[in-house]
Amino acid sequence: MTDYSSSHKRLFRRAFVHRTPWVLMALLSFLSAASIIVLMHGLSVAIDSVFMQETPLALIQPTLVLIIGAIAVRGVLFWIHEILVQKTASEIKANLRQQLFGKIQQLGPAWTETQNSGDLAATAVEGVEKLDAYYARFIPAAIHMTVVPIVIVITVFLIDWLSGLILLITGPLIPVFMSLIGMRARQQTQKQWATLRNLSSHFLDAVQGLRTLKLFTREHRKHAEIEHISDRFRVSTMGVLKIAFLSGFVLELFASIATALVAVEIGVRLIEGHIGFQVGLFVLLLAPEYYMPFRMFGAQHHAGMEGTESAGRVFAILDTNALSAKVFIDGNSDEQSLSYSQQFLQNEYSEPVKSQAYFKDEAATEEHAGNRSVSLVFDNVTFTYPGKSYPVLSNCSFLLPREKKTALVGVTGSGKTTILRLLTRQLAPDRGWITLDGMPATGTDDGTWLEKMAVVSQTNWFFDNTILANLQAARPNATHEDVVLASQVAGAHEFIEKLPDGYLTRTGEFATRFSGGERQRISIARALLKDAPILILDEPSSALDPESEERINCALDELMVNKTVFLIAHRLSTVRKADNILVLEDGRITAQGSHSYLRANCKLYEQMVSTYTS
Amino acid sequence: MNIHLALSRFLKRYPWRITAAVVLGAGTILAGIGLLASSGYLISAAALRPPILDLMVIIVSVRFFGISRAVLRYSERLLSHDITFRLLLQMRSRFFGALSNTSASRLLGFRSGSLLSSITSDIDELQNYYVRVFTPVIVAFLVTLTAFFFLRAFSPAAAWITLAFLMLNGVAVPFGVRRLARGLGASQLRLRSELSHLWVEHSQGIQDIRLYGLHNAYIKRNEKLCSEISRLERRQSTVTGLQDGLHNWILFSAAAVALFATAPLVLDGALSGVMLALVVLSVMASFEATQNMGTAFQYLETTERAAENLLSLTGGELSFEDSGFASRGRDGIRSTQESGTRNVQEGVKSLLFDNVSFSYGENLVLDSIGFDIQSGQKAALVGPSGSGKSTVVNLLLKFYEPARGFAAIGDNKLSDISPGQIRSMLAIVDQYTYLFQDSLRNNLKIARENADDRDILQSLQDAHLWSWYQGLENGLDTQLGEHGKQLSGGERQRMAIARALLRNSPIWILDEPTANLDTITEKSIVKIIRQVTRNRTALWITHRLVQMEYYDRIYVLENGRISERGRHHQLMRRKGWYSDVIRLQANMLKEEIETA
Repeated sequence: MTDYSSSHKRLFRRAFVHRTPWVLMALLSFLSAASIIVLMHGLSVAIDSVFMQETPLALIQPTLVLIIGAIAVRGVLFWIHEILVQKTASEIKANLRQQLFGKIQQLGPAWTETQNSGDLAATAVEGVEKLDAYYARFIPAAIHMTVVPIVIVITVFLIDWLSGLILLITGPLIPVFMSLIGMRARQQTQKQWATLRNLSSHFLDAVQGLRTLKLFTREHRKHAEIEHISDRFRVSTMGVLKIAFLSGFVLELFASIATALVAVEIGVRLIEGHIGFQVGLFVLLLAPEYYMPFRMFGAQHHAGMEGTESAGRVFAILDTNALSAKVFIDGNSDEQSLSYSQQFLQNEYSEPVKSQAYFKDEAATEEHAGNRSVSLVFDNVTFTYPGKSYPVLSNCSFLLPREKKTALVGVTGSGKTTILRLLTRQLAPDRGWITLDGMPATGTDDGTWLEKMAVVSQTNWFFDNTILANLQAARPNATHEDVVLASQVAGAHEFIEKLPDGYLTRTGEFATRFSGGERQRISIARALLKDAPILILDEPSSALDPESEERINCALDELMVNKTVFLIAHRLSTVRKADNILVLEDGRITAQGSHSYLRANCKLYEQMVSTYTS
Repeated sequence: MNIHLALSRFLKRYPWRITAAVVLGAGTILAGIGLLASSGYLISAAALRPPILDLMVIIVSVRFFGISRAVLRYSERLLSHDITFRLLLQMRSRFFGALSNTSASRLLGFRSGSLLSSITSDIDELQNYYVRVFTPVIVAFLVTLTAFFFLRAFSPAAAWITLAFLMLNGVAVPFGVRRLARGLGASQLRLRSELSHLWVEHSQGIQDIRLYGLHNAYIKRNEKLCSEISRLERRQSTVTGLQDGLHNWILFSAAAVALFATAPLVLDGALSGVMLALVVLSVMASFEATQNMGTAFQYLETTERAAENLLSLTGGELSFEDSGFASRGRDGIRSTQESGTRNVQEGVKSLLFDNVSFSYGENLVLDSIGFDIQSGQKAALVGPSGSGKSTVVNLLLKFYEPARGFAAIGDNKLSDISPGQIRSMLAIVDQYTYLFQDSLRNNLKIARENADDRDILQSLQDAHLWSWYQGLENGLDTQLGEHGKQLSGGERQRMAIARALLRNSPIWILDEPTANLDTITEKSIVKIIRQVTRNRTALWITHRLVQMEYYDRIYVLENGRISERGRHHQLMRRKGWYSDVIRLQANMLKEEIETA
């Protein structure tokens, strides 16, 4: 409930950042009320002249001119009003979409991974679109409802106070009853919106998993499930509508009965001769126009509520706290990142830096920040995922010597992926330092940090574009020759050329057109093109056959010269090439050294080797 | 035009509801006319100061019309929304049905963004066909006719004028406006679908977008799309605004013209003056009938376009014709599975490929390949990546049909039995394990519907997921997120094994099941699979030649042809791809051991 009223308030505030359009709308509403009064006055005078006075038509021409003038003005006012309203709403929507987009970029991969991408897209596209109803219909209708009835009721008071009194009493009752009913409908609308969202992501999921469904011949069952869920949605929505439409019913009933009341009251007084026919007709003609804005508002009220519901979701994303999502906050002078590093200093530097790992070169730890021989440092890094009670990394320390190959091994779940996420600034450590060429991760922006890295992983994403464009993404000024060369080195050129459109073949979703090995080779070509000083290989050869693996290993050998390499790998054929191997166990580096050293001294490592060679 | 026929076929399902909704809709507007007409008559008659008793009937009818209008409107709105949701269900269901009949190769080309947009936008657009297009048109037609005959009783001139202006307002103006706004609706749909696709791509590929410094490019693309949408919306508003203006002009002009055309009748004494206000007020009230015709024409365009979109997405296979399934509901499940022309005998476990060729476009992927795997045998299909191994699987699963030759399970040619039958005999573990956004239980139950929790827990244990499972707070009710992102590669593959175990099929196809796993996990998974397939037929498809002595038969697939076949020691004696790779691997291992 508080969520609802708070997003309502925020929508409202957002609307009135620029006042001018809304003031203009109020003015247009006022003018349209004036025009209807003139128009109805003209009509009642004309009818009165013909019916009561039996005036010849020629004599009521001035009235005719008045009527035509009022009609013309009224039409133009409506036209301008619509243009103004839509322009205002469009701007607000575009603005919101851009804000959301920026927010998602700030929160980054670690956050989007916890989200449903279909859901996010629905929020940005359909969810924000629903706000159109709020800004282009609901608020203008509210303005219209405030201005027009007041103008009309004052006019009616001036010519016939008794009818004016009826209008004055019945009018305000309508919003009161409607909001009483609306309050009940609101809670249910919330539920309905959740079902709707669930519905679209459920459908997307079913379609994406269609192959799996077919493998298990479950597509018909899923089909039935989709029908079932849609039907549940119908039933729940109908429940909401029964109540929501009740407010429309009350509105309609009040407007009709009040019009009837005015007609009867005027009729009775006409019989008694207390009122003139023209005045009576004028008031009768104005009565429906008095209730019309209420009806228009009522028709938009439901849409307005729906807009508010979807706004809740939009604001929830905008409000996601970057700190609690444990991501970096860009910008060096950012207040939050400053306080963040202060907090870190208090927690960490008060303790003596005692690394769990033993470094080969003790001196390196001391002066790592300025040391030219060290590229990247992890110093006492601790990280706990939001909502988890134990840290996945605790006081994890290691360093990547410049232009050397360092490998990281460890069983599934030991924290390798988390290290990768921290290295690529997807997540910010709870405690500890990560520095790259002396720059601390905190206080450096994504661009500066990431331009120094190329990553080849199992989950590299292909943009829905041509292979060429996917490769050129890594180096925008790369010529076709550069791309072909990189592909040749990565062993991707042969199969790309065999494709019907060669380098201009489009990649499908998840690049399902390619085998695992082919994907990997394109990823490698992309990393080759980027030519970054730090190369991170996330189990790089796991999806390759021995021939390709051998070929790529040769290519990587060449590539790795002059590069700081970080291998997150299990295949010992790649690991053995590393200058230093780090063994990650339970969130910290428990051993490091060369292949032979570790075989002799590290039980876990020896176990891995023996499983592989047996 | 076919689209309208197709859409109205959906409507045929609910003839009584729709008739009732139309009658209620027309009744609402007629009650409005009745209210204003009787009020106008009431005060005109009262102006002549008759005894009040003479007016009692008209006073009662004023009240009657007032109340009935509200009641009619309320019931009409409820009923037509109910119909809309029913239609929505039909459309979603039909869309999914058509999609699941689409051949697998085309599914690969689909983008989830555009699919998402199809369902939430296009189908949402289609539901408007009934509320915004179909009903308003019929109601407008009925009310126009009624108003015409009603007015003709008083003033034929006013009746004809009203008819003309109603036609202008209900047909000519919307038609003209639609011409002005031609293509705007379609462009909006297209842009929104593009926006949705951009957002899906952005959130799924955000890591690589950051790594390649593309985030600003994406921000610009989003900005550009947003401002294009705004520009279109503004253009549309000049048109819709014009329509609002014209509606006002026509309505009041009709009232004024009708007044001045009826006035001579009153002045000549041909019509009682008491009726003048009644005529003018009825004319104004009757325009409620055509009030929504503008939106009807607009929605006509967007619904047409949305229907076309849906058709193109499914490659024209989304026939709105009854495909038979949706109406048969759950019974359809059984009949589809049993639609094969012959029964398959129990216990068939052998696999046969006889001279099978297959082309993907102009690309010959498989060239006359043949193999024969007997019951209980373990066979391996090996070869460099891209040699056509995955195509063999797709042919086996009947996702593809061979161009020449045939494949068979036991004595049954695949062409003779249904995909459902085939898939029930095969268990697949491949590297594309898809996990649904559903509970752990339901993710496993897709393999066997009637599996109880004990079976499921057993399968988790056998697939070595037990310790992972015990760490789950909500047990089998744990929700696996989008694409099962919270699971590691090893856990996903073990899920696939658990599914296959539940499936309990006689033949297992293992298509690179360990491609993404670490050595230790790979070992354990290979061990598990070998354990559970002891009494089954198994076809392993792999590019890693590890422990090859295990296999009864090894087939080497190179460039779409089977170049070598036999047991490990036989192949080692030949100087082919196989022995080369084995030696290569051995060298790599040797180096390792030497370094150690």
